Amino acid sequence: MKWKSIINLLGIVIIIVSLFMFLSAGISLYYKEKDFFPFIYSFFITFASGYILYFFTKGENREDIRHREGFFIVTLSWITVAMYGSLPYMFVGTFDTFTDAYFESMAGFTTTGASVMEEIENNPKGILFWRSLTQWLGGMGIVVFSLAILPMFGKGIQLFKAEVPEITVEKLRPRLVDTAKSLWYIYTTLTVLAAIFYILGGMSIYDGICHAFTTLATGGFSTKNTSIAYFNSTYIDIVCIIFMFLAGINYTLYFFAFKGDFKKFFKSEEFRFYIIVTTIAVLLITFNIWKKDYKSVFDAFRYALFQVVSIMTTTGYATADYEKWSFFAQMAIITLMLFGGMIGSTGGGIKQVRVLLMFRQAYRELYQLIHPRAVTVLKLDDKPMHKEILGSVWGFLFLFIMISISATLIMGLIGEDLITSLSTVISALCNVGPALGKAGPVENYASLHTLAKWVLIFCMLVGRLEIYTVIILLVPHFWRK
Amino acid sequence: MRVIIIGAGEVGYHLALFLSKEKDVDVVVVDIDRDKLKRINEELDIAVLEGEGGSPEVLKDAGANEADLLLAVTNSDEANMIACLVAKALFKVKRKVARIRNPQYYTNDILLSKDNLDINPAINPELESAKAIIRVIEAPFAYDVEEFENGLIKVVGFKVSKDSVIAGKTLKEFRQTLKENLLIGIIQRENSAIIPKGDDIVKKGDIIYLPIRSEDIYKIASLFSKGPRLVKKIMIVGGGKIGYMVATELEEKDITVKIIEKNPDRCKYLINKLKHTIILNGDGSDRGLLEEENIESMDVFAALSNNEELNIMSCLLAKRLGVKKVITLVNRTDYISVANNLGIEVVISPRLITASSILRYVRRGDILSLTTVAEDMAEILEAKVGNTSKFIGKRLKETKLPPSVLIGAIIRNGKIIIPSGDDQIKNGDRLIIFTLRESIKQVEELLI
Repeated sequence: MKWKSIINLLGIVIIIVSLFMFLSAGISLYYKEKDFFPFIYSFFITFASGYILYFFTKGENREDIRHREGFFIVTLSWITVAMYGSLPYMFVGTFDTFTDAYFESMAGFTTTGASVMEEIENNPKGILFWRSLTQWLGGMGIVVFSLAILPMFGKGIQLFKAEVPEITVEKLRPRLVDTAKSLWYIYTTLTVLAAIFYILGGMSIYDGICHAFTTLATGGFSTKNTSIAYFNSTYIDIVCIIFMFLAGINYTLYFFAFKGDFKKFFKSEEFRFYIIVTTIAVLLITFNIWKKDYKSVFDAFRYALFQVVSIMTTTGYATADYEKWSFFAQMAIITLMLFGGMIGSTGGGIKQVRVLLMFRQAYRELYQLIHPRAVTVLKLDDKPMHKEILGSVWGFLFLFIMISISATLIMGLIGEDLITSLSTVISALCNVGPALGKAGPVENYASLHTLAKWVLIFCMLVGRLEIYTVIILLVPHFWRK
Repeated sequence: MRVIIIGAGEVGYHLALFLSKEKDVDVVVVDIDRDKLKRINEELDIAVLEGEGGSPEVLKDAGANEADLLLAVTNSDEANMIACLVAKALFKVKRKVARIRNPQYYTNDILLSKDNLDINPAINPELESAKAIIRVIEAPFAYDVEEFENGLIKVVGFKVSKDSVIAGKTLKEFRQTLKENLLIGIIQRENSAIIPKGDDIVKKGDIIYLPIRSEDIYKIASLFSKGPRLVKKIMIVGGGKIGYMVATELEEKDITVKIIEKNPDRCKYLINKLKHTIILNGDGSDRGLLEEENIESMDVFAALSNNEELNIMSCLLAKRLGVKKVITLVNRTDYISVANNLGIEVVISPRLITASSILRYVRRGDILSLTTVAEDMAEILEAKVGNTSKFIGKRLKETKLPPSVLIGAIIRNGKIIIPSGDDQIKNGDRLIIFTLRESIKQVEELLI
């Protein structure tokens, strides 16, 4: 472990986050609210600690970061950033306990959107802005963001890989800094567009920006108690659906589209799969809830579509209380959480491409049983998939299931009921937000046991960093020289 | 600028390593070997692409449309030529450099000309290495020799021994004891390179690089080194391509050459091709054989076989048996510093030589030749002063050069001037410039 480099980079990330606190302080000042000073305190503490870490370790040759350090820095950054991110909540007194503040902060940065905030609208605007901003920062990744603005991060490929999963290996541009910049450029453009459309639909500028942040990050925090349902507007629902859907698409495709190459969109099998899954889910749920829950087929379609896109992209906004829907619809919602967004998007979950690959692999196994001597190959986008990648997908899947089961068991030990335990764990691992039981779309996580909250915090982090990056730190070999 | 490298082997890796350090160069490496790409992708900040380098589709994906330079450096001459041809015909890539070994292609100017393959230049790693070895053999007193202007001027590196006249002196003091105007371009000290100023002290163990007119070389060498002036006898281990090329060249210079080659068939080939070289069939690390062949009376011992570990071992053995100057051939760059630390003075790496000779095509300005020294930390380059250069008409004293850049020689109308502060730079001059890597951008700006 190259401790000096690790601490140095950590310092830089913390400094960057502190600057965004300063921005939130500006919002408070503008609205002349009482949370201005808490933000200034948080800013100073965060900035100072970041600067101290940075200052006392600078000068070290940063080139010597290897894979191990990469995993460690990224995980450590997220844990630490969530900690500093909870300072404003603590100083304002939003929550009674540190657990709640940290939970809210982690749910923000990991774009989970699981909230422990009871009366959202009673909170000052600065706090709610900060809450949305944490999601936006976490959406594309804090470390990637640091890479984009600071070439001094060095080559950073190990950091990039630890935060962005392996199947997206296709670097958009030869230089890492340029790749990171491109990603943030696309992300920011889409966010600005979403904000404009929201504001045109009647949201205030403040609400428009906050919702744009959390939509593109597939986060799901809202500035309203009743989430998007508050606006009760078909137009806003549609804008929201479109942008959530867009946020769940692989950013590589946008990159090529920006360069004028739209073909990649239609050639991408994952994109087709993403559309097919969405369509099937919407149709099934629409027919399931039509007549039983909604009289008109249009309403059933509207709510089904919104909920499917919101849950599958792991955003987690709500326009309807799906807990009142049938068991079938609820189970479908949980399944969609697992599917998640496309790889290389801001969405969480297992990711579409992994599910697609597993389907094909399973089919290939069956085919092989019928034709034992058949020579087969597994292709994606007409390119043969390498064994290593398939192995890594299997490993991912296994770890995902094991973590879900273990976390659910622990939740059970703590004393939560089955539906709540299982659904919150999956929701946290997939970075969705709303679950079932005690944490349904119209309730929140406040009533959970303190220990249960920590289990979920861990799940959110593991899910956001796509499992390997965090779990690898728990392997004893990692720490051996 | 965008550079596409075909081939992720050692040469490709080194080029990518060099180029990825340049600020505004985007590098894409293409290879069919996934594992090689994996290694290169993990260590360097570049893009990689799996595929056949000669495939139009792959080249298109690699961004050949916007590429300024294509470097085809796979092991196969044919693959390299095809890649260049495709790049020329379909993507109009301006400059194509290929690694070509087969002399039938390599020496065929029509084939490589603008109308046909348009490869400029073709680089032959074995030939480049043989040349480097011969340069060292011709100047056995030197640590390193680089040639510029067709050999008119040489940059010679000397190792400063503890009884050297210069050890412990500042450059100013040293210069006062001499009649000639002498200039030290670079000092390599342990793991750093220094562009010296007048009051820097030269220490023992340093390697100093000086620009020297070819005719002055022995005069100046006598100041720094007590080693043999001329090589009369040399023993070479390994009669492969490089060993053969070196032997052919040395025969012309009336040097007695003994080649030890393991493979009997290769020995037959060598004896048919070479005139008076003594061919011995045996193992280069066989002490008995070496002693039998009077190794102690050899001026130079060069281990040039394909087995680099064996090369290093037999050089160590030769050193112990009393040879003053040993040369070893190493492919893996990891071994270079190891070999140096073991006391082998001259380590030749074909891949590194190839990489550094390609580097000049990435530089802006009219760079005639370029070579890297001091473990790539410093560069020596020969460049033509452009018409609009800020240098023109200025005395060297007045030019605002960064401290890590030094003009080592001015070549004007075939004459070589070792400059002092009062010399002026004129339009059309060629300069030998010593620079540290980090200042290369400033140098480029001054030249164009």
